[in-house]
Amino acid sequence: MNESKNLTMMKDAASLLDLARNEIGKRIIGQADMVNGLLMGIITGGHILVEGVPGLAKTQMVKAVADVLSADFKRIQFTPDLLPADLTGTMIYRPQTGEFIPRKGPVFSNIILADEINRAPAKVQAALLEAMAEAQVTIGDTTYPLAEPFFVMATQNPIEHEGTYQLPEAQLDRFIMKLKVDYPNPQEELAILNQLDRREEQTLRRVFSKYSILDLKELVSSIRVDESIRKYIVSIVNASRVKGRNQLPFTRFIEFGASPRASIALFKCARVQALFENREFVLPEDVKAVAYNVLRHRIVLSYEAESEELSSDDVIRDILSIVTVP
Amino acid sequence: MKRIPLLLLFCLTSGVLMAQNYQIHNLSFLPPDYYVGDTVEMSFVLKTDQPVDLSSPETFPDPGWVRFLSIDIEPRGEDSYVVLRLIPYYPGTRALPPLDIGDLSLVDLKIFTSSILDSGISRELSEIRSPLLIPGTRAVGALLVSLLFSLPILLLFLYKVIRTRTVNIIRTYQLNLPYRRFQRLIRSIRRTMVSMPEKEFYLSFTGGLKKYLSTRFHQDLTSSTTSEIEYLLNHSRIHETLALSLINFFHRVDRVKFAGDKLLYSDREQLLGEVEDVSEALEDWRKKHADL
Repeated sequence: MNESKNLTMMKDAASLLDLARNEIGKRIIGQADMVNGLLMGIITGGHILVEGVPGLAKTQMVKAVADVLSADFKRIQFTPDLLPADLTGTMIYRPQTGEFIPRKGPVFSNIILADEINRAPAKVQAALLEAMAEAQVTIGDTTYPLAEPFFVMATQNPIEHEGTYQLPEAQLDRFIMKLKVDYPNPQEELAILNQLDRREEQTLRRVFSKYSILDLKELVSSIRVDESIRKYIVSIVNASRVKGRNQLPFTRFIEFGASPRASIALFKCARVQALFENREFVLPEDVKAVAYNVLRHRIVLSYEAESEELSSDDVIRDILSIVTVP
Repeated sequence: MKRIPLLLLFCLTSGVLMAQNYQIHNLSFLPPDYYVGDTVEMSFVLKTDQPVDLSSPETFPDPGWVRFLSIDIEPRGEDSYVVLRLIPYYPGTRALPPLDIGDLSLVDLKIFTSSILDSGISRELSEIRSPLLIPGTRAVGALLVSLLFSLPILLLFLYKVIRTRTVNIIRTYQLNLPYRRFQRLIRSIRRTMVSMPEKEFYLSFTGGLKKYLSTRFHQDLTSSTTSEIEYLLNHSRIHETLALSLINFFHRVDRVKFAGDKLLYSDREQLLGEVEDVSEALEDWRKKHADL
């Protein structure tokens, strides 16, 4: 792809993304960070974990994104009695032919909302996370590839921990980002009320096709990431792994640092961030902009951090304030 | 009968004339040299031809230039030892007024009073001046005592002055140190610019500039992005032209560092010059406005 074509495509992509945001905005008021997060997840080919209290339009948001992308959408409500086969599918017997045929589960869709993922037992979580990682599912003796694009948005409620199965750190790591959804501000909430009657009538334009997503992915892969930016990414992730209580001011707050998956995720998301900024190269700003969402669920805090009521975001802020920007 | 008064008058006149015959011996003054206003003790031995009856006068004459204090007359055989105390108020040689001491009248007693004034100086009285020292003190003593009292205060004052000056010098030196370091970095970059790879040039250059700006804005800018620096500069008190120059510079360098833009060798020299000018202007601004 030559540079002039690349720049033209960059502008096209930027206008396409703006169009998508506007369309989603018809149904969802505010939550711009979440919209960007979802689009980033889809473009990077990753999956998103969203943490927020109920009633913040998480389902509406992912539905709107699915509509704009003209993609299949399935919502799976995770419950304690859910089985892996309920997700992936199973072999069912047909008396007419006397054979077992595969019946694909809801995981065979483009966009999946795994609602309250921490309400299902570990084996169900593992089945979904395996599908997310492998992009394929085996039913019986046959392995089936999942749809393209395949995007999972899992949600969890931060306030109700009774009867939940906390996701293990190794599985959390499979989500490219963890978004935090907060309440809308009073102006946004008023706007929500004002468009309450019209919301059901809103039909969103299909901005993206399957191919435009592939084009966007290709465009993102052409975005230049300088060696110094790569080193900066590695420095940030490495800073989270420093051992020795007093080596850095925040080391005592970290039990386990981020894995190499974090570096890869930072790299991918920084590129998409550059695309959002209509830039054909990545800046340290892009890395910093996505660092919180990418590292939030990958850093395991120590008991000291918990006793001092520090969040992952506080520790990430300290890390970013100490790592030298190229 | 007429002979009796004549006889009496003769006797009286002859008596007086006899009584006037005296001689003064061993005249001495204490102190030997005396000045105007000094109390002088004048002593001498009075010899007479005939025995006389001597006594201190009840009142002394007052000519104005001398004041008589007392007179003591002590008989010593046929002679008398006289001690006269007086205070002269006029310099030079002058004859004392006649002093009646019983049968004798001392006349033509001369005293010489010295003067601390030069002879050529006018005798006119000068204006009253305040005393240089408390009466009874001595100059050296007074100086020593005052020096003894004022020495600790002087030393303390001197110490404070020296300390304040030293602190100011050190503070100024430390305040200017980051700028001097940055200047040194620019000079060293300029020396090695020919052989320096492009990326290394821009990284070391902006790294140095960020360190320098960190000291000026009291915030670690080495871990700040261009956007964060831009925000800081836009919200600082520095002149907008200065801020804009720095922001543009960082954006240009970002394009070289991260977008792979190429800049000619002459552009490097130009950049160095620009940054030197901006940093110099920033220093001037800092000196005029204590805090950025």
